[in-house]
Amino acid sequence: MKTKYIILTLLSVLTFGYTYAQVENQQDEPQKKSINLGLGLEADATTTSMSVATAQSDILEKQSKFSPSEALYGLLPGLQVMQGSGFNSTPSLALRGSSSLTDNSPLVLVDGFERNINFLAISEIENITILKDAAAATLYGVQGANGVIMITTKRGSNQKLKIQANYNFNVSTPYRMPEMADAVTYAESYNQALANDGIYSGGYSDLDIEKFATGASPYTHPNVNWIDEAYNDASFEHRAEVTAAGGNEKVQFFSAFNYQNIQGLFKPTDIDEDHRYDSQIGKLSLNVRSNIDAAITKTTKMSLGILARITEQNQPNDYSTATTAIYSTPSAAFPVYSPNGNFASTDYYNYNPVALIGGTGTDKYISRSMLADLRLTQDLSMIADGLYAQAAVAYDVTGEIYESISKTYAYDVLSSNVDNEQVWTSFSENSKLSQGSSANSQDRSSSVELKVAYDKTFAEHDIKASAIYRQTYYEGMAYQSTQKRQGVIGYVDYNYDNRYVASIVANYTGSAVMPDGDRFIFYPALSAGWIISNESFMSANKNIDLLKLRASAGVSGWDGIDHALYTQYYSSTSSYLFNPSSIGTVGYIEDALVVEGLTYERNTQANIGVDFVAFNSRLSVSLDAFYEHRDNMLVTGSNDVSSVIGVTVGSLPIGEVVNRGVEVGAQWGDTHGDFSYRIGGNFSFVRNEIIENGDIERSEEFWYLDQAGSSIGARWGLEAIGFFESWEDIQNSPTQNLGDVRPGDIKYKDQNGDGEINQSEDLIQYGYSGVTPEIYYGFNIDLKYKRFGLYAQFQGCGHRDIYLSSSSLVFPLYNGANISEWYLSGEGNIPWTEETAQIATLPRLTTESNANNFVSSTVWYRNGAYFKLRNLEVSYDVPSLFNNTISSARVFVRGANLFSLDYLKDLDPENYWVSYPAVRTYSVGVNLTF
Amino acid sequence: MKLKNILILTVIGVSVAGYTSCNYLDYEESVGTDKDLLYSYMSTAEAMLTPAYLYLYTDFGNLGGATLDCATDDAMWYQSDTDVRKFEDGSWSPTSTVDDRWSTSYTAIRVLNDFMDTFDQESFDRFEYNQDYDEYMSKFQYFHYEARVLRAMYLFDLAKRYGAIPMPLTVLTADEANEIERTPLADVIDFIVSECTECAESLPVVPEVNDTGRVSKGVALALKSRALLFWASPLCNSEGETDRWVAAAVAAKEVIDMNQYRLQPYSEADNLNNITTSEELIFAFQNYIGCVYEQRNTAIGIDGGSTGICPSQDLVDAFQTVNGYEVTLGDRGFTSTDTAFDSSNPYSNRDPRFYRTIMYNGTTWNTNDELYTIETYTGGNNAQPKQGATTTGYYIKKYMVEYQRISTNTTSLQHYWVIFRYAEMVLNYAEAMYEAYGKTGTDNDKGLTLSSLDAIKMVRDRAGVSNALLDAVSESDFQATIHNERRVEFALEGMRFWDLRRWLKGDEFETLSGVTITLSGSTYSYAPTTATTRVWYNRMYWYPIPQNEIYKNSNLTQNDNW
Repeated sequence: MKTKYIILTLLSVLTFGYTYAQVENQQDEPQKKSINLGLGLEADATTTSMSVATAQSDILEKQSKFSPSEALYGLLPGLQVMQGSGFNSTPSLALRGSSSLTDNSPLVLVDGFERNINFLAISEIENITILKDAAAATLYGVQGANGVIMITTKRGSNQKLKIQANYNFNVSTPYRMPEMADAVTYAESYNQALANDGIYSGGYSDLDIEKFATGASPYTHPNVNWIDEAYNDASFEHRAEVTAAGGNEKVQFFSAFNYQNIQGLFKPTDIDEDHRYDSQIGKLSLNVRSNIDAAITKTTKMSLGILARITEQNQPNDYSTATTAIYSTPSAAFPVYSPNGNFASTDYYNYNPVALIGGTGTDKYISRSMLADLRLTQDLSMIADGLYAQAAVAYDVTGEIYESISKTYAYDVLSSNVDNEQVWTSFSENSKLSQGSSANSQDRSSSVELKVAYDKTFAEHDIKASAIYRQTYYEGMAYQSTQKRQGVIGYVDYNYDNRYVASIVANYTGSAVMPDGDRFIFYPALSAGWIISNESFMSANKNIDLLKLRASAGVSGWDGIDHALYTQYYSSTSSYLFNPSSIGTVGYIEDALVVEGLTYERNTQANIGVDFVAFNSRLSVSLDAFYEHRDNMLVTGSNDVSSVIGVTVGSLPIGEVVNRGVEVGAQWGDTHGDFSYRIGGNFSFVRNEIIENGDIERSEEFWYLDQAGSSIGARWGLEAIGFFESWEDIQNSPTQNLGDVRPGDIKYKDQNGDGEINQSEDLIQYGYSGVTPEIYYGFNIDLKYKRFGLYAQFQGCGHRDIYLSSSSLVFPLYNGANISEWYLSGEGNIPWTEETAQIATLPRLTTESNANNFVSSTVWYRNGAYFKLRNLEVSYDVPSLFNNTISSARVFVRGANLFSLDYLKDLDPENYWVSYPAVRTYSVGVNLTF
Repeated sequence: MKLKNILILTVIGVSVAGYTSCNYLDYEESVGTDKDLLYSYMSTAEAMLTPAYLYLYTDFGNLGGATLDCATDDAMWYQSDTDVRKFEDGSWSPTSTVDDRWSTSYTAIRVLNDFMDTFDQESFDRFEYNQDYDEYMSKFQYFHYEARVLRAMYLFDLAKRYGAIPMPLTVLTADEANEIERTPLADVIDFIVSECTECAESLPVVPEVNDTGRVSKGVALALKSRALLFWASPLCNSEGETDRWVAAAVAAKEVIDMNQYRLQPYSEADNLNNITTSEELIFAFQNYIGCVYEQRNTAIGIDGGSTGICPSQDLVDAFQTVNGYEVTLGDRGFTSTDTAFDSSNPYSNRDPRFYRTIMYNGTTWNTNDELYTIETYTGGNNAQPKQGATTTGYYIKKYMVEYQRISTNTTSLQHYWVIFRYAEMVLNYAEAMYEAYGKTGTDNDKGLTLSSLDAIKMVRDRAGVSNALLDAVSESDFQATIHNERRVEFALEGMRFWDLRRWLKGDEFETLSGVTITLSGSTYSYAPTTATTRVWYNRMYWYPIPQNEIYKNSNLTQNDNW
């Protein structure tokens, strides 16, 4: 049955194409800027009616990181790039904010096939294009709903051999690393906290505090700056690249070799006596690419792309514990080493941050990938002029091996012996290194594309028609990871006299996650444009180069769900011992109930836009407005059915979100003699609204808690209205049923006026999402004077809120935790005491868990808007050297993450928790062209 | 050239046709199994009942390491950030539940209803010629009754928390689950009792050797005894109907009369940590737990240990001297009327059960191949002001296993959570008899030949604590004796949390005391301290039904005052 539809669609598109092929017309077109749509399809950048934006390699190459996504901050209107956290993290990408309750990640295609953007090095990339609207999304059917990011790699040309060698040396320094209190401040704060708690024992005496201050007793009264002990001030990395491109009429090639070695900031990494297992965090990457285009016959073209990639990442075996412990261990807790030379700790803490970095062994992640694709194009003009066929295959394999080399470490604890003397007792032990390894991943994917296409221009009519069969397969190691899809795509692009343009997309695709019968689905899309500037009535106006109105609408889907949600299964449980001395036996229990009415997520979207180019292409502006309606998303069913049913209820395909927004991008560039400049900027505003997310149906009095109407990821919490001034104040206020309260604790607003405040009835939506900001903008400046160049890339966002919840930073002292300078004085903070009651901005210090203060509330909310200088480059072009052996050379200095304007001041607004620090990177480098 | 191209196209065309068969997408990735298939083998059919055992209630630290005992006057959790806090500070509410067994219990009940629906219809005759047919059938004959008793057990788990509860006896549809009403508590108890009574007839007295963990006749009768005692208690029996106490006594006596169980001396068998040789054990959750419990609760100051459950001074005071005299800690230290009691050495000569329950100042404990002496005097190795040390002056010993290596966690130790042991039946009997017939009354017509006093003596005899003073205890004071006996016998085994509720003694939860021990020279002095205070509202006798459940099912009503 499906086969029938596939054949029918293929036939109809072919017929459509062939009918037009009857009319012959030959006309040489000038060289056009084309946009790669994948599937072997291209659109003309000037005349297309789709909503697209492209960043070319010259801009991308102006920064020093390996990963291409680092170069994209604020570069393309509609593409939101948010910084990741942790060592050598890569940013996350989203197109047009968020419209999905399940998965918002765009489809990333490299040379037309789904691949990880971070597998590529920047120097391999020709351009990155974002395909934002329905016309492109529909091409990718059940994968298209989140938009498409298309990366095209560089290819050779039949010009002179061009060899380029680049080298970068980068220095990274921690950026806005939180500071923690010293021992004296810690002890004083602790005493203050005890007093606030009404506890008058324990605490530090004046003598203790004096000892902390003088440092006279470093073993009993230490003052350790754990951050200094753990981190160096700077880390280094090298990046080297060689690319070669060239060819002749028959064969062209592009080859690239990229090497990068990044070392991290950890200080105490060579504690292991033989230095064999250095635990420094670091990553080594090697990319080798070879792209070959060849004319096999006069009518047959072959394009081959191969990428081989190896990465090796290293980190302390107890990395995540270590990065937290550095911040959470008070300066006054224990010294780094005991007098015996062993690590020190206490039996309460049980660990030593320095030992966690250097004394626990290392983790290694060794990843190897091979990505290959081959595309054959056969000209069929012997059958009909303009007819050709294409076949493409891709096969990618990535595997990662995890190797763990772990050990435990002995530490000394100061404790009293039988004679009540303080002695250092050894705890735990220095174990031998124990080695283990396992496969982390083993991903294979393959794709097949077959296409028959007809491109023809006759008179004013320019027609491109394609019928495509596409099949993709992905298999990972994880359960439920397999993806199989199959479908046919029809695409017709029509251009009348460069004045009226239209594209039609028809997609009929199925995915293995759906049951037979419901599997295949049809998606249509239509886009149309009117190029006013080419109308005769505009021909008088010499200033306007291009004025284009465009509109598109269409439907696409998303199939990122588990297999077999439509079948009721039973799964094995853990085992039970019916006899203590026997082996356990497993049981079988009912899985989640089936999903009723399962279908693909559906995204219906519409886009209108204007492109405007004027003054000899010095000015270009493009404006877009869009509307997306996403539905059929799977949301939890557990809010719909009482737990008395006794089984996990199946999800419901009822999730519904509306997302809308506007984007504008503009650029102005000009040249005056030796001076040329280009200023570009873009701005986007998006807002989504949840219509249905499976929220529980509350009784009428609690309707204000309904999530429908708010946006995805919006911050909910209690509304703080100050701090309790006194016990009377507590008596006279609504009861706060969160935990015990004392003066100085946060006082909340009783939203429903029932005289009681609890964590689920008195919530309000107090902030925007912290993940997808509503406002996102960027601008860049590119100046050139004689041989000097300056490039600056700025990016900012707004309508983004963050919730501070990193315990050692913002919830201090309890449970042995440290206290941060942030809490005591950062950002103008003033913790509550009786004296500061009138001006306090944070609740009292406490040594107790205090469930009242440390819940999501407006006290911990901060405006997450920021404006950052992401990349800055100053360059100088050296004239040809060594008798033109080096035809050109360029030296540069760069800086990444140089400044941020925001509301946090002491913390990075994108890294406001305790983890491996965000970094600022300086680099120097040279590009040589031979 | 043209021919060549056509050839290429043909090759492509053919390979496409081959590659893309129309069932390319007939692929499914799931590790699940079809129900029919599971019932088509005896081994997997057997496994359909197994999950019902996995949901049995155990408490080696359900509340973030804390046990329910940490919400009683017997103990506290050393810090206040775990779930148990909700019992203490009043933040417990329908939207912030704790020890929430609602959905877990109903999951188990669905497993059982589903099992009975299918298994009861299944005939295994077709396997008659299988080698292991007889072996399976000897188990299968009890499965229906096991399932019913387990279901009754889960219903009781719910009933003692929530009172009247939805009582689904079939597999519910979504609509049914959203409309089901609460069955009155009386009917729930009636149902539990009748199920236990009926099934006890058909269950084996002695389970097969490989199935000692399965429900047997004793389990059914023990559950019935516990349920009837609960139903007779002041919490449910506001009118004070004596009949209910009589019924509870009869039910407990039924277990005693089985003559299947015995109060073994501790020297013979350990009724908690080595249940395989225990003749006292009726039913336990038999799964491997590991030594996390030891790592959480062995005193801080010991490599690998930390502070967790801190038993209270109130609990320590509940342990008499071995001669049966009270000991109390007051402002002038420990005092007792026992002439053999040495107030400078207050932890010696106590009820032998004390030494199985509490780690006190001077207890020796062997772990990590090292013999540690617990020091809880101020400044001692396991005491305040050391950060994270016990807040009461004591550590827990119940369920703790010695001779482990907790510093490196290489133990393969097993823990079993005891659900019913015989001592409970005897003490259930003692309590019910006292309430119905007084301290020494009997009722031979009903087979109630032992008096309350006789029963108490049985338990104390086994423990090795003197009964000499018991005869002199007045009729009215004897209730306190019975209550204290339960407290001491089952200390830190999860019993008191429910007992205090049954007895309507919620206010006992309000304060919790500890001890401060000061060492001067070589003598210790002892002073009581208030370790913590708690909020108690009478609504807390019953748990609140989770708010979301009420949103989803408008036929559910909330418990009073929540």
